[in-house]
Amino acid sequence: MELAFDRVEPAPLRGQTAHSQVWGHAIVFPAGSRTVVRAPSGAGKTTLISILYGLRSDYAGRIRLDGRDLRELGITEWALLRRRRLGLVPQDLQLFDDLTAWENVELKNRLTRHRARQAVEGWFERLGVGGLQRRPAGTLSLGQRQRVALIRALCQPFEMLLLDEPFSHLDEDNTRRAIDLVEAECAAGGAGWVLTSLAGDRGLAGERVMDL
Amino acid sequence: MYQGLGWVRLGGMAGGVMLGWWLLFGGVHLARIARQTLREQRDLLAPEYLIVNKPVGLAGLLKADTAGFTEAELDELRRQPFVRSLAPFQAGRFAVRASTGDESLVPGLESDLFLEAVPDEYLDFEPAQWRWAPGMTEVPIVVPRDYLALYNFGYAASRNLPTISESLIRLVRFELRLEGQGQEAQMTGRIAGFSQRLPTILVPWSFLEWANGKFGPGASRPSRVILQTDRPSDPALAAFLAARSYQCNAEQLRAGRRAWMMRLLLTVVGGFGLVVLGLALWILGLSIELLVIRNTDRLRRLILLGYHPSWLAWHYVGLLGALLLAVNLSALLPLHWLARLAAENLERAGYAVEPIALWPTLALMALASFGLVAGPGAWIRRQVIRLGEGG
Repeated sequence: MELAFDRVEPAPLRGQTAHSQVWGHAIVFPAGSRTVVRAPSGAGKTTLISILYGLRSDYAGRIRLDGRDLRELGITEWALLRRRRLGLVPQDLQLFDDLTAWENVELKNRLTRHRARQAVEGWFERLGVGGLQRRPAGTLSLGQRQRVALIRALCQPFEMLLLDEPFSHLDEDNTRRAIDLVEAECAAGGAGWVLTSLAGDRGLAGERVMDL
Repeated sequence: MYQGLGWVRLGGMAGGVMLGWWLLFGGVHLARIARQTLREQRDLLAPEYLIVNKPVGLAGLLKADTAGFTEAELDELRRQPFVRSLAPFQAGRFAVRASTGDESLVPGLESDLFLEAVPDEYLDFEPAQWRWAPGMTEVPIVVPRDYLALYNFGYAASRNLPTISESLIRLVRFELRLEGQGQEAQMTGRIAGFSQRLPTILVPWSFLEWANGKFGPGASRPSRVILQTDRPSDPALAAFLAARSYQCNAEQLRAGRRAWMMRLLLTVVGGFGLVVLGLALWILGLSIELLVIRNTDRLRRLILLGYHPSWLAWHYVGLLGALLLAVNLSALLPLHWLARLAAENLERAGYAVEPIALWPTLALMALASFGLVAGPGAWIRRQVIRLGEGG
C-alpha cells in the first residue's frame, strides 16, 4: 500500500504549516515503509492519522492510496480497507469501557476472523496483560489499555499500520516488548507503519523520521 | 448498540404501537363488515326506485299544469349521476267511474277512479295478462297492496262485509265507465295484481295511451316521475331534491341517511385509530432516534473498527421488524374475536351477516408493516452512514 501526499494541509492548521516536513509537501509513504512522524502537541499528529484512516476530510490538497484519491472512497471501501489493509491504534484508543479487554479484541477478531484464539492469548501474555483479559476495559490503567488496543489492531490483515502515540504510557520495558511485537507482525506480513510521537520521544526505529 | 434500550421502554413502545395497530385495523375490519352488511341491507330493504313529484302549491289552483315537470326539468333529472333511468307517470285525463254489479262478490260499491301508468320495466310485479290492445274490453288493473288492507281492516270491518283475500279479489270484475270529450265507453275492470312500490291505480301503458287519445283533452305535463337509482343513500340525491324542492317518498332517503351516518361514524373511528397509531409510531420513531443518538459513540467506534454502517443499521431495522412482527401476530386473535363479536351483535340486531374474509385486512396490515419497516429503516441507515462519514 502506497500513500502519496500532494500538498496536504488540514483546515485547522491553515497558515501554520510553514516549518512542517509533511504538510504542504509532496511526499510518499511507499509500501512496506516505516516512518516516524515527530511533533510537539498540537501540530496535527492525530489529525494526520485521522486523515489517513478516513475519519476526516477537512483538508486541502490530495492524498492518493495506490493512486486513488482518498476522497473518492465510499463507505463500503473504507469498511473493507479497515478490515483488510489498514490497521490503527488511535491515540484515544477507542475501547469499549463496559466490555472486557478480551471482548474488545474479539469485537475486531470476530469481524476479520484473522487470528486464532491461542495467538491472541499469547499476545496478552507477551505484553504483560495476560491476567487482565476478563477485566472491563474501563478499569484498566492507560498503559494497559494501550496494549489492549495494540493487540486489537493486530487482529486483522494489514499492509499499513497507523500508530498514534501508541506507547506514551508504557515504561521502557513494556515499550520494548510492544515494539518487538509490532516489528515481528509487520515483518511477517510485509507491512509498513506510520507512527506518531512527541518530539524526542523514543519509539520504533523508522527508516525515515519526519518533523510535522 | 442497544444500550439505553431498557426492556420497559421496549415494552412500552410495543404496547403503544400494538394499541394503535389494533384500533386502526380493528376499525378497518369493522368498516369492511359494516359496508358489506349495509350493502346487502340496501339490496334487501330499500328498493332503488323513488317517486318524485313537485310540491302542490297555490300555483296549482290557478293553473293545473304548473305542477308538472317540463321537458327541461326531466332532462336535468336524467343527467344527475345518481339517476340510472327515469320515466314520467302517464296520468289519465278523463273521468272514470267504477262500480260493482249486484251479482258481484262485493255488491253495491261505486267510486270515481283516477288511472295512471308507468312503463312496464318499472313495475315490481309480473301480473298475468298485463296486456291490453285496442278492441279488448277487459282492462287489467293493479292497485296498491295497502288498498286491500284498507278495505279488509277498515271498510269491511266497519260495515260487516266479508274480508277478501288477494286471490279472491282477482276474481272480481267490475264495470268501468270512461267519459270525456263528449264520448263515453263501457269496459270491464279486473284486478290483476298488487303493487308495493307504486302508490296508485295502474293500468297498462297502452290502454291509457289509447284512452287519453280518445277521451282526454290533449297532452299535458307529467306530474310524477319514477326514477331508478343505484345510490339511494347518496347525500347528493337528497341535496338535489331539496334544492329543486321536489318531493319524494322519503323512506328510502331516510335509510340512505342512516347509512351515511354510519359511514361517517366509521370514518371517525378509523381516523381516531389512525391518529393513535400515528402517535405511537411517532414515539417509536423518537425512541429509535434516541437509541441511535445514545449509541452514537459506540456506532462510531464500531465503524472505526471496520464494521459497515449498513450492517450496523440493519440491526436496528431488524429490531423494528421484529417489533412489528410481534405486534401483527398479537393482533390476529383480537381481530378474529372482534369479527365474531361484531357478527354476533349485528345478527342479534336483525341484520343478515355474511361471513367476511379476514385476509384482505391481514394483507393490508402486512403492507402497512412493510412500509413502516422500510421507511424508518432507510432513515436509520442514513443516520448511521452519516456517523461513518462525519468522523
